[in-house]
Amino acid sequence: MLAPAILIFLAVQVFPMAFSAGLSLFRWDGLSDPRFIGLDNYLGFLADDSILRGLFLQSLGNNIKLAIFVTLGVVVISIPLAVAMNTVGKRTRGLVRTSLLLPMVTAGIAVFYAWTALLGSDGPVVTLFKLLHIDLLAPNGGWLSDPVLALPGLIAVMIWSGVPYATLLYLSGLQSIDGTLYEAAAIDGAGPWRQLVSITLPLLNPITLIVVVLNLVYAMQSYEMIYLITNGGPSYSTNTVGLLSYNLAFGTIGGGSAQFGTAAAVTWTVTVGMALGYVSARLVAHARRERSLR
Amino acid sequence: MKSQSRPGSLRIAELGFLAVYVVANVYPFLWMVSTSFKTREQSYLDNGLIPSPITGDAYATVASAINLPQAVANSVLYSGMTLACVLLIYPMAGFVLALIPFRGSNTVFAALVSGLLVPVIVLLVPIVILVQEAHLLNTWLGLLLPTVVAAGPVPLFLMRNYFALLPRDLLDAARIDGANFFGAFRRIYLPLSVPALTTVSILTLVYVWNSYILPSLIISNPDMATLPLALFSLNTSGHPAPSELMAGGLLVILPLIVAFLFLQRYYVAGLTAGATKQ
Repeated sequence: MLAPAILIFLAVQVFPMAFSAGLSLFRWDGLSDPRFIGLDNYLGFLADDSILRGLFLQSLGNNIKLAIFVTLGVVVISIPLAVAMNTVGKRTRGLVRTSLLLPMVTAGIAVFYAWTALLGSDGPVVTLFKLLHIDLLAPNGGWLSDPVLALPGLIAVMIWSGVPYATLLYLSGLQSIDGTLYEAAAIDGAGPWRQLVSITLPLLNPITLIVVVLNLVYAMQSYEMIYLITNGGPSYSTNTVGLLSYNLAFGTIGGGSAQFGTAAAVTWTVTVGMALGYVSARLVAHARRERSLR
Repeated sequence: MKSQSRPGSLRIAELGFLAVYVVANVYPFLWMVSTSFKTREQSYLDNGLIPSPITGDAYATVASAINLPQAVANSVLYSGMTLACVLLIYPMAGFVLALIPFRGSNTVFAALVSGLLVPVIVLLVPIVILVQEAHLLNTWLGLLLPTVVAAGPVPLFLMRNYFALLPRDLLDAARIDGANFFGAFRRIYLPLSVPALTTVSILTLVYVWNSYILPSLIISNPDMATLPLALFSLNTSGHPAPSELMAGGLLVILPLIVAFLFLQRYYVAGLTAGATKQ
């Protein structure tokens, strides 16, 4: 009964991963015969090829910026949102919840096109900032063709699409908090603010951990949305590692010929990096727990 | 927290915050709807939410530029086939992993769910090459296989956790009555897992209905284009006005929005299950 899941997993996940690891050691454009070149693909974008190295570092930097700001934005918006939802009446809460579902079920090409237009040269965002005379945030070509504002624009879209799920998680966390804690705190004279800081926020820590991990993974892996909104432009200011790999394999980087080997090497470098990060985070947490037990 | 014990200013701040958020959250959709009913020229320049005049031209243009019935049929076929495979494979696997202890069952579960953490992009290149080598480009099978795996980790995770909450006694009782594992699964556990199956179905449908990159790499035959591919082709085959892009986009997401207004209860419950200890 487990066999179908394992079979299809081996065929479409494990085998391709092994294939891709092997591929990263070859030079192959998909047409001529692949040639074994050892670690040259890795050395290429990590050291030898200065253009590709610059591109890789820039993309990785963008991934890191996305990870930090998207995660931060989502947490900072969704906690007060969930707290507010938890205190208002049932009807209002239902209404807000319905609106939360909209970005979640529609995440895809249609909404990405909408955001492209919303942030575009004559779109509402630029128009609004022009009216307010904040010229810095009203570039003539729109946010997404501006090398400085394109990445913040993407971050805003990602926060917009990440907040709803985080809020639902926080809301379920709030609803599982024992109400008597608040009654006891109120008897001791704690006001709403004090209750929030001393009871609610600490008890939401486990949820925050989930939200942070989900958004970090989301930011590190994101490429479909960025591909559809900016495709890494303008001049690679929104390029990410995933997109770099995609464009090395199927797109425009590298003079039009596919570089499957380098594309695989790039993704493997990041995957191994993320795995190492995960393992070291676990080790640190483990060591800390040991110390606190002693 | 009783709301009447809270100061009025706090209440107003909360309601204000919620109102601002809801507007910011829903605005892109309102803007899409409004823009899709504007004339071509106005959709470039006019950012108001009430179009005047109101026209359905954009929808007519989209309907003539892409084969809409075909794209809808393809999307339904693709989503339906993926859903059928997901529902056939992962509840069964989740059942085994949750209720039938065997050596290494936790390792198998971890390996299968690890797909969640492996960036899809790692698999994209090899999968496209393998599908090509197997001569499955532009076939539903070539698209279906990778999609079923890519969509798999979340359903497996949810199903296994759901089955783990159901009492094991039912399985033992069924075994005593002579049922084998599969019989117990099909007659007892599967009917009990309808809520989890609903959540899995919804998540899978959303994922597949919206997915663009994987189909775009495997399907190039326009007769097999799903709705997202058809919408994208609108962009490459000409210079669509915002009104036309938004009209096309709404046609893609409308079925999802309508479905979710009715199913949201199940959706929310399933999405947050497991995040907090019950």
